[in-house]
Amino acid sequence: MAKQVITYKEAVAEIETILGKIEEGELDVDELAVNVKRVTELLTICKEKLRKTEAEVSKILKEDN
Amino acid sequence: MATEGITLSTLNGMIREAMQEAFPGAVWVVAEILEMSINRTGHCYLELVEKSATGDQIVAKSRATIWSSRFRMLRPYFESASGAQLQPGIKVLLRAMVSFHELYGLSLNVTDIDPSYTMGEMEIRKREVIARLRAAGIMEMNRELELTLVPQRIAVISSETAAGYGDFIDSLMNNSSGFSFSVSLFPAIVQGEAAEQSIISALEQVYATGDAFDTLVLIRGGGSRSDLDCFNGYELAMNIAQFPLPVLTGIGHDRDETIADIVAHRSLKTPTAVAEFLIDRVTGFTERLALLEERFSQIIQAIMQQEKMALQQKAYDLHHLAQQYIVEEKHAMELFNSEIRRSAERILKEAVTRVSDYSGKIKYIWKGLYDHRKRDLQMLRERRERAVIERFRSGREHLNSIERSLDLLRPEKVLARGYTLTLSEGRIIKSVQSLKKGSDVETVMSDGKFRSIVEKIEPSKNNQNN
Repeated sequence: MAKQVITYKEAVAEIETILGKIEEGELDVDELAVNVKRVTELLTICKEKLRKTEAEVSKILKEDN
Repeated sequence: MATEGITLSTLNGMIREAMQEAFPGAVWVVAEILEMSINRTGHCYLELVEKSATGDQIVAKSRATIWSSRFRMLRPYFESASGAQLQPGIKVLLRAMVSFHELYGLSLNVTDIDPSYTMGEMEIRKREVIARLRAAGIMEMNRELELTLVPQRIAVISSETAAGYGDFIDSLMNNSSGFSFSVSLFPAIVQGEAAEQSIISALEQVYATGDAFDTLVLIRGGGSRSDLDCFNGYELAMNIAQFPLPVLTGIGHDRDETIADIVAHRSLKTPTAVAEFLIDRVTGFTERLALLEERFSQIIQAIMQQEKMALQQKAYDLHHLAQQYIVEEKHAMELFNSEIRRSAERILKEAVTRVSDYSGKIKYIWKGLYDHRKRDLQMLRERRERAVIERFRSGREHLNSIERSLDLLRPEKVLARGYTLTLSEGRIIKSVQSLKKGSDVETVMSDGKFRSIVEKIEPSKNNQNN
């Protein structure tokens, strides 16, 4: 069973944390790039997961039978 | 001898008459509909029963008829008032004429059905179940579970052939946003008396898969309210309430909720509504993502913009400052220039004034000097002239005085003034010492001479040495 690297909830929470930091002005321009990359990654992960069919369930059911 | 019997029709006729006597009017009867059929002309034929208190035995049974003219009115009235369909399985309170027909036997001729009885009957049973669930403390259990942000792995309990299941799958799989859902069907009977147990065993199968699913969907494809009775059972409600996944119901009814709906995490009216709910939830999540993304890019842009502007501002400030400096310098220079010019002019003017003053003064002085000198010269000349004149005059005067003195010294003048000339022997006597006592002396005066003899000589004391 392919374990999910990150859940939607975790992804959103992380994005919001980063956003919060940026909005609070805790990050300088140099750190910005790293965080932009991370947020972009998280968004991509979420979007991919949303549209990719997960074979997980059928696998489990086969294992059970 | 063979006993002579009456004809069956006579007997039945007698029964009919007796019945008519015994039941002259209509009676209200409580019964459960076991079977029901409607023929082509619209007459409704019912099989009514009464079950034992335990519900497993039929203790009474009768046929009943609702004639089409009455049935056309009664059925919509009953169904709209009670929210239940007139069909087998429901308990009804009906008003009927007891009728007996020689050919068809005993039948109840139904003239009215009380919808509030059926409704009340179902309500009472539901309330009992709810009270038991409350007592067990499990009413809210499923509702308290958290449905994942993006429910994509879905276990469905439904009848495989139900239209509602097809609607659900269609709506879910053909969602316009192209979200992927993985749906696994756990088939169950969702109608009739076997339904409750069938659904419970399907729930157990889903439970056995562990954490393979995000949510369990319980759907049924339409049907009447009384069909929903299986969803009102305590046993099923208990299983749903305590199920570890959030249960979504789409049982398909328009009115009161079933117990299954009440204990479920969320109840929706139809299977399609469940599908829409799931899609909405995922959509909601993507919208949230989009918002985050937008907010994110806005913040980043804002920060970049801000930095850029700050730089520009600095550049502008610098430029501006430089310009201002230049302008100020230029201005200062101009000021300086004009000052210089002005002061130069002023100095020049002053110089000119001074020079003209000087020249005036010089002229003046010069003239003064000149005049002075001239005067001096004049004076000098005049003095010289005067001196010359004076010298001439004094010379002349001197001469004159000399002349006068000389005139005075002329003997005639001296003699005229009283002086006398003494002569002795013809010579002028100037000293007494040249005389002697008895010397003859002639004294000459201005107007004559006389002769005398010297008697005494007395020299002047101060002229002793002479």
